[in-house]
Amino acid sequence: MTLNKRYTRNFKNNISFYICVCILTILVVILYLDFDAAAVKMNDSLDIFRERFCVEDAQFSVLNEIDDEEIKRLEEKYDILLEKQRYIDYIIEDGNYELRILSVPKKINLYVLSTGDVEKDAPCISVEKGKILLNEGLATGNEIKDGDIIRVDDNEFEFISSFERPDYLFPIKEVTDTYALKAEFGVGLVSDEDFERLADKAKESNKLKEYYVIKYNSDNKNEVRKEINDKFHMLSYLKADTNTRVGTPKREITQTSNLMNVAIIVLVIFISVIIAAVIGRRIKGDRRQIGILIALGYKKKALSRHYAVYGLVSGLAGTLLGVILAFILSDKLIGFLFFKIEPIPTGYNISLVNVVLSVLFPTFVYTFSVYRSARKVMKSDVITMISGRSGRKGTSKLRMEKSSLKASTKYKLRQIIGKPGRSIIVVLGLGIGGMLYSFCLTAIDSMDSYVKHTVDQIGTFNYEYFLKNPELGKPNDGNAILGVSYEVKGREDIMMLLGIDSPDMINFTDPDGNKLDFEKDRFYITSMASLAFDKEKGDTITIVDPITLDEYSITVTDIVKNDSQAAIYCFRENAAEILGFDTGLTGGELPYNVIMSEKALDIDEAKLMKTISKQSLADQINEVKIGMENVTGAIDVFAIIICVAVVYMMVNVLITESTPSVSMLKVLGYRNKEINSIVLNVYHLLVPIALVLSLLLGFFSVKAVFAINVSEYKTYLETLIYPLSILKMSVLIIASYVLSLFLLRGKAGKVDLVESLKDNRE
Amino acid sequence: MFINLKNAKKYYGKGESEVRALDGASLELEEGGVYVILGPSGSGKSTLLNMLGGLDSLDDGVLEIGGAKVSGMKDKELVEYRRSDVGFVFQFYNLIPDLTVKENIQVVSDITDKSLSIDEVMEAVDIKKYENHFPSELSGGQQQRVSIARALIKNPKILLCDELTGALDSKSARLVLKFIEEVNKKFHTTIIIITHNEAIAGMADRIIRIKDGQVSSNKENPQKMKADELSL
Repeated sequence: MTLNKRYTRNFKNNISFYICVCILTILVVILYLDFDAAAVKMNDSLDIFRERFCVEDAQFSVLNEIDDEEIKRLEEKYDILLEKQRYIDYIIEDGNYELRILSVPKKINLYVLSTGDVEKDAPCISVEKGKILLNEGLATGNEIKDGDIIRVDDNEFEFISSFERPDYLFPIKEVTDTYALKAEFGVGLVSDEDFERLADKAKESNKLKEYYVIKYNSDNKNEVRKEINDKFHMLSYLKADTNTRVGTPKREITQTSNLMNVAIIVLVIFISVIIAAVIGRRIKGDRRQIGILIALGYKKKALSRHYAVYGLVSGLAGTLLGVILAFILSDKLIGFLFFKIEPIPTGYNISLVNVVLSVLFPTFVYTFSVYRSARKVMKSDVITMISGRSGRKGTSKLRMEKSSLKASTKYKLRQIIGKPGRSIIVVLGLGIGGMLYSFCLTAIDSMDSYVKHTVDQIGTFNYEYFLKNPELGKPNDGNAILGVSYEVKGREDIMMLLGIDSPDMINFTDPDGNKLDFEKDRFYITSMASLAFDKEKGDTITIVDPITLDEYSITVTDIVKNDSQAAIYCFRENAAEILGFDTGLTGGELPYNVIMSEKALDIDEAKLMKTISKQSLADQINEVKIGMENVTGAIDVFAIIICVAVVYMMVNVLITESTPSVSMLKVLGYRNKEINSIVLNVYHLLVPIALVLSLLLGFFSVKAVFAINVSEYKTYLETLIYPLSILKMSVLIIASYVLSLFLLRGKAGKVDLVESLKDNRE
Repeated sequence: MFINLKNAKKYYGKGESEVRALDGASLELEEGGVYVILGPSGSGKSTLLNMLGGLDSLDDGVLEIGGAKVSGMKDKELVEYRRSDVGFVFQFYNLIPDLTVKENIQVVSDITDKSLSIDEVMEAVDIKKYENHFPSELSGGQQQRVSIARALIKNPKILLCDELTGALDSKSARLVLKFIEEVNKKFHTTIIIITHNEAIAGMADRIIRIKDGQVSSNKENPQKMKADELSL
């Protein structure tokens, strides 16, 4: 059909507009395919990894060792898998990081090489002598390459590959840690022979740690736990669900999947609809030609189909390019999305269904929108269409009779109010683009504030030393604390019960800053625990002893301001009572197993289970902040593309729709600069609105994410954004806005002042 | 002479499809007169108007208006020329739909330093009572009066009218022409009207006929009539 020759001409004449449409479509497809599909894929891969590589159901420590014979007996009796696992921590001075050498697992928590595939490869159970494997985060973070020599306590090992274990996908040193410092701590595997050699030496300095991991096959957990406790005296018991190392990857991936499912789909729909609306509007500008073609005898259906091709071609071009780029960028974007946890070795094939959907959905929306616009235009009678009188609706009748504003300002106001669809798209385009940036800035500022201020608000102490075995009385230095981990009934969470003598190293104030009285037989929970477990003053919390499974209910007396730890404070005496400690046998002396101190103490390594420093809490948040700062560059690019493309498209539409006015202004003697200042600057008034919108969207999105993360990371971050960041965000949005106007500065100048007058009939 | 056009040429297209819109047209007109240019479609009268108004430039020939050489002006100079010296009235009014009557006039007043009083001009063309109306709320005749007011506000040396009554009924057309007549008297503005309508030629000081891109006749009108007397 001769009419089809118009396609090439139209695309050529409006090339910059269609490039804009393509860029936004590509962005939409990449976001959908890579982020959404990656989240789903990661979820599936993690489940497969955990099942095929036999992740633990729980881990525990005992006072009396369980020998191999006993292990075999228990396995047979209860249909379980039980394995003793060991590790030794080393400071690697060559690389300035801490390395935990794990014994190679044979039954539970098996490993896979990073070059392998958790869905295809068999689990590994051995390592070659003299070689060492490291988790990928540590190797990458320290730029360790194949063949590098790692010196561990005077032994040299050759690094041959990275590996992952399902129980160390979130490689934190202590289960109480919040975030993984990947470059500073990691895990390694050496051969059994090498490990035994290291273990022999480590035993002398009490650096060898032992624990048991268990995998249940039947619903007999409580029976197993009871027998083990009765026979071997359980010291600790940690379910996989409450073990941050095991539980976090699952929760992280689930949360991201949920976020992706909502955020990406909303973004995809939003951008698709914007583009569809914009292409549709352009068709309305063709109403006279449509009228002429109908007058010549063309059928409305045939013309609608002709115009629908504009949407079809734009959709197909953008989506197909998007699919290609999505495949190319998938690995990088997946790493970007799940930077907090270790990568799961598997192939990230984008599913065919998603590819088809990502092509069909935008293409359909664009095509349908253009088809609908063409049909709508054709509803006018032919004479009206040919005369150009149709489609004049939307001119604002805002008279502003008494206003002393300039005519050009009134014109801008009427353009904004009279064409609300156009204005809303501009505000949303700038708002959503800006939101991506303000989200990052708000998150970074909140973390920065936490690192600099919040962590210090907990109190004056700097160290908490956890002892392997309780001691009686009071330590020579520091404050005595009886600290025990309890499960919270009805929740897959643990909380510390801290029995203290006085709160002198703790900032014992309520969330409003009022000093609280510390009284006997009263229980105070931290503001973090209050948020994580949704408990207020006067509420009851039931805690469960993870070893004996005994339950205790306590009533919350008050909330203590502490956004970093989920804990219950009470008198040491009360904690001992709950623990079932009989003071009659110790001459009234109370036990303690934690020493809280403002200064570092020299405690015998043999007695020490772990040390938590206040600085480490800050360091972990700081690590996430740095990670976030690193990805902000990529977010900026997305934000700028969305802002520039949306404004470019809308101002382009504005100029096209205002061609008769622009032409008339030229005839009247307006200079191009003056015309630009009227036509291009119409949306100036909307920029501050978009700024506020993006600021609010970003701020409240971060607040929501932090609220979701409260139960996950046991850290509550106060949401805030610094004035400097608001300034940065404003500069980015304004710069994007100005850039799109700059790109369009010649557009008004190209309007033909003679030709367009011929079409201007009121 | 106020307007001096010598051997003006303007060709569009090339080869066989070349159109000689102006092909050696020459014309001399005095300041302050009412001139009507007549000619069939394709004769080159609109092209001539575009040249006089600085909307387009000649390929060859000379055009001087009020002593200024318009031919050879660069785009920027043409903008300045249109801005200060020329007023346009078009067949389809070409008002800006998002501006009220007053604002359509004000938008020109804003860019000229010799602006007349907006209220006076509106009163002169009898549209003061519609000052806060939008173009779409007015009849064709009323819109054309706004268009005249907009052209007059900058007190142009020359007022170019392209088929200014072409879209109006005879009653409205007469009224509009009456205003044109009054404008000429009151402001001593040189008025050039391009039209198909021979009857309008009755109000001209001189009648110019164009054919095949050339001025075929330029004669004084011995029986000049008032707009009221025209049989439209």
